[in-house]
This record gives sequence, structure tokens and C-alpha cells, in this order.
Amino acid sequence: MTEEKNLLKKAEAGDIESIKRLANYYDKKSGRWREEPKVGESISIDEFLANADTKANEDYLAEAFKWFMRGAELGDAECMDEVGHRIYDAIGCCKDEEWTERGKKSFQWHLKAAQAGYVPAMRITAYMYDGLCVEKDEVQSFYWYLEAAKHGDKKSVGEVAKRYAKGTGVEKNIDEANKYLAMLDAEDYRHVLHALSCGDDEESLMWLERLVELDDPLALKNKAEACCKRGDYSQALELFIKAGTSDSENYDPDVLAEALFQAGNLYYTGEDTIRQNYRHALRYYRSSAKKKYIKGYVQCGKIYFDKGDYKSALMNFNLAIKTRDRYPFGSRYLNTIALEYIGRIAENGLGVDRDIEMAYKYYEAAAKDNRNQGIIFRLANDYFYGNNVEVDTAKALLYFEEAGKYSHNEYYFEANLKLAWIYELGQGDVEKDLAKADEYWAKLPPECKPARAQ
Amino acid sequence: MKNSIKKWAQAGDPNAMTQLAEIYLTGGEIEEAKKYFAQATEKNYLPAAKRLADIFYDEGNEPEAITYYKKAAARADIEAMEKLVELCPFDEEIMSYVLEIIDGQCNEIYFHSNSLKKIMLFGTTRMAEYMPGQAMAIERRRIKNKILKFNPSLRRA
Repeated sequence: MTEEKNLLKKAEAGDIESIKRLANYYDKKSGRWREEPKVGESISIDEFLANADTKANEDYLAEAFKWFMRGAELGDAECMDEVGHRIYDAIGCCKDEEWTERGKKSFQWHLKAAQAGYVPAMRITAYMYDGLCVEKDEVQSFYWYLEAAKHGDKKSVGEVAKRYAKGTGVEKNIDEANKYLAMLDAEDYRHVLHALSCGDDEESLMWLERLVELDDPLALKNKAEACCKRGDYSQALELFIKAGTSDSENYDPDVLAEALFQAGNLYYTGEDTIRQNYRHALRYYRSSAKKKYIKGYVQCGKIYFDKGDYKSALMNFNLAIKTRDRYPFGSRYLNTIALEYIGRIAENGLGVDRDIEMAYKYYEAAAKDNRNQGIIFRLANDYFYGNNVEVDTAKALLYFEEAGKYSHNEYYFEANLKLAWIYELGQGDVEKDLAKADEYWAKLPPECKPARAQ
Repeated sequence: MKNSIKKWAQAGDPNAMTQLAEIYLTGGEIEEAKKYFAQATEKNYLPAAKRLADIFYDEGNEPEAITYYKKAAARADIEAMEKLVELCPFDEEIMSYVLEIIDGQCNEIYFHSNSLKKIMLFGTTRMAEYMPGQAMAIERRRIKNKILKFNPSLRRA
């Protein structure tokens, strides 16, 4: 308590250090989550959840803001920057104001802090000049990135290099760009070059070439895709394979696996001078699958299925389904293609004992993915007429409705036509309901509707 | 059940006609099956066209099979298009008709440039997820390249 009083006394006298300490003291006391992770730093889920519901004490936050503001008014750059942040995020102030309004105010403080020589504020000023809450001004934006870079801010160095390379806010100057690129470490260098090479124009390709020289697998893959677009498939194939067999650890194995998958695609579809060759395709699909890549497994399974090697096909489809476990928060769906094929193998007893019940379990799982319209329409019919399964009209109607939901659906016409007829005649357990039938007829061409007896 | 399906089919429901035809087909009454499949096809119910084509294909009646596969292919049915390529790979008229159907769909299977940005936005899961649409596009591309191999003159700039 005495400490707080002491601090208060000094702060009121205008001692900057004390003002900052006091502001931070109130901020902590408010219970606001102070230890926010920095960019690139990760926190555990438990930690996140523990902090998610924390309600800060608004009175203390307002007090903290008051003292930061006092510091800012006394000319302290760090305080000015902090005030800018707090106004932008409405922490302890400006609760009722619109985001755009707050952004404009916040910008003024960041600018002041930058002018006073506070480096992080320079970068934020530059960033906001790029069109965040203030009118876009590329020249000013470049100016502040350059200032920050001169003071040794690493991120700004990358930005300056990008701007020299593209000529935004400054005259294009590749030599200058190279000078700044040379200051970056390997990882930032890659990031900047990837950002520069993300277009389809000549210049982007030039920057891409630099990454290709480093044998960067993602760049090799991107270049291969650019080659595909141009129609130069043989070079694309070479590049895809080189990317896929790279031993670089900078990227997720999925990047390499996708490259191998694309190499397989070129042999599978047979583009231009590359002859269609399922054996070669299988080879690359298999090496893609070895990296636990779903697409690789599915394509392998398909080729085995077409060849009649149902045992290998089944194994690959099963692996495709299991692989999803790698992505705990990832894909919403199990792979519907793999599920459908497993169902087909079980239904027809291909290489395994026939098991209709299990087949329909897999079909139903496949139908959960509403992008697989074929299986949804099939199940609708099977449940309606009781093919292989017991008649379940309610379920059939649900599937028909799912298939007829959107006009871009594969079976939109067929499903709506069936629904219209069901209500027109009263089929199965469904009562005749002409008004409802009319709703479905309205979605169809007029000649489909039968004449009704008056 | 069969009687009520017959009633619905007679009232004009093409889906019921198709089902009725399937029942006749399982019972070995192929002529009856053909009749109902053909009726449903006339009502523009294309899944029936494909089944009818399959019967003609198994019978070895190629001209009829081609007629009905052509109808079924109108909805970009991969199997129907593949059968057409198998039956008449050098018939330029039919092949250009199939090509037109394929070109009407989205056949892009490459991620384009800027994958890094996509990876940063969605995580690699997005890339690994095998969407039915992409799988179909790969199949369509395969068929298209087959056609172009047989008919180089159909290659457009």
C-alpha cells in the first residue's frame, strides 16, 4: 500500500519512470491478461482457456489508461505508443466509439511516438499508412519502414526490400532491394521472396527463380505449377519430383507430398508429351502416400481398384480414412471417396466376403459429406424403395431434400422431380400434398408437371 | 411394392419407372426393363439413360449404347464419357461433344501460385483434404487428354 502511495506521489510530480510503473501496476491489477503471446510464440490450449473468460476490472483499466495518457502528454514515446494501442483495442477508454474512429485517433498517437523515435511505433505507423484506418499513403509508409529498418527493426528490413523490389512508395531499385535482402536471415529471406513471387507475371517468376536456386521445395512446386499453366508439362514433372524428394525441413511434409501427388497426376492424366502411364502414376502416388498424405492414398486405392487388385485398394482406402487423425482440428469430413469405395468393395464382395450391412454403414458415412452428391442420391433411392436396406421413407426424404437443396447440386433436377412426384401422388408412407408438390414443381422446368384432373 | 411402383410409373414418375425397370432387370425380363428405362429417358431423367446404355453395351449393341451414353454424358457423367471414348474414340463429332461438356466444368487441379499464403491461412489440412470435386476434375482431365490423343485435330489453342 505504501509502495502504491509512494509511486502515486512521484508520478503526480511528473516522474516518467514512476508514471509507467504506476500504469503497469494498475494494468496488472485489473486482471487483464498481460502475457499475450508474441507472434510466433505458442501457448498451450489449457493456458488459453484459463485466460479466455478473464474479465478485466474496467476501473483499473481506466486508471491505467489515465496514467499512460499522462506519460504520453509529458512526451514519453513508449507511453504514446501504448496509448495508441489501447485506443485501437478500446482498453480502458473509448468504449462507445466506432473502430474506424478509434483507428484514426490511435494512428495519431503512433505517429507521434514514431516521430519521437520509438522504433516499434515506426513500424506500426508504416503499417497503418498502408491503408488501415487512415488514407493510404505509400510514400509515407515506405518512409517509416525505412526509418525503422535503419534503427535495426528486422521485420521492417524485409518490408523495405519488398518495396524497393516492387517500386511501391519509392522508385523501383533492384540493387537496393538486394542490399536489404542480404541483411535478412535465411528464414525471413525465404518469407520475403515468397511474398514477392506470389503473382503470375514475369517479375514474380524472377524472384521465384531465386528460391528455386536454393532448392526450396515450395518454390520448386510453385514453379512447376506455373509451368503447368504455360503448358510446359515435362519441366513441371521434373520440378514436382525434385520438390517432392527434397530433404528440406522448412515445410510441413504435406508440401512435399502434394508435389509428389501432382507428379502422379501428370502421369495419371497424361499431359501433352507425357504419356498416360498408370504404373508411373502409382509410383508417385505411393511415395506421396508414404508421407501420410490422404490424396496419395486415395489415388493409389483408385488405381488398384481399377486394376482389380481389391485387397491393396482396400488397404489404401482404409489408410486414407485413418490418416485424418493427424489433423485433430482439421478436416470436418472423413474422406468420402475412400468411404464410398470401401462400401462398394463390401457390397459387391470384391476380394472380401459380401457384407451389405457394413457397406451401407460406409455409404452413410460417405453421405455425411454433402459434396458427394452421387452417394446421397443413391441412398435416397435405396431407402425409398428398400433396395438392400429396409424401407425408411423419412430417411429417404431427408436424403432427397439434401440432394435437391442447391441448384448446382449434381442431382438437383432428379431429386426435386422425385420429391414433387412423391407429394403429387402420395407415395409410400407420404400423404398426397398438392401444395407441397407445387413448391417442388416450381423448381423444375414447366413441362415436367403433369396435368391435374379438376 | 411392385404394384404400387407400377402405379406410380404409369402416372408418370420417371424415378419410379427407373426402379421398375431395375426390378424387371433383376428378374431377367430385359425387354420390359429397356421399355421403362427408355420411357424415363424420354422424360429427361438421365440416370435411366445411363442404365439403358449399359444394357445395350452388355448386349454388344454399340450404336444404341452410344446414343444413350451421349444422353447420359450431358450431365458430365464420368463413366458415360469414358464409355464413349472406349466405343468411338475416332468419331470427331461425338468426341468434340464430350470435350465441350468437359470444358464446361471446372478442371483446374493445380493450386496456382501463392500456396504459401494459403498454407498460412488455412494450415496444410486444406491442401491435404481430398475434395470430391478435385478428384472428378482429375478424371475429366484424364478423359480429355485421351480424346486429344486420339483426335489431335480437336486440340484448341
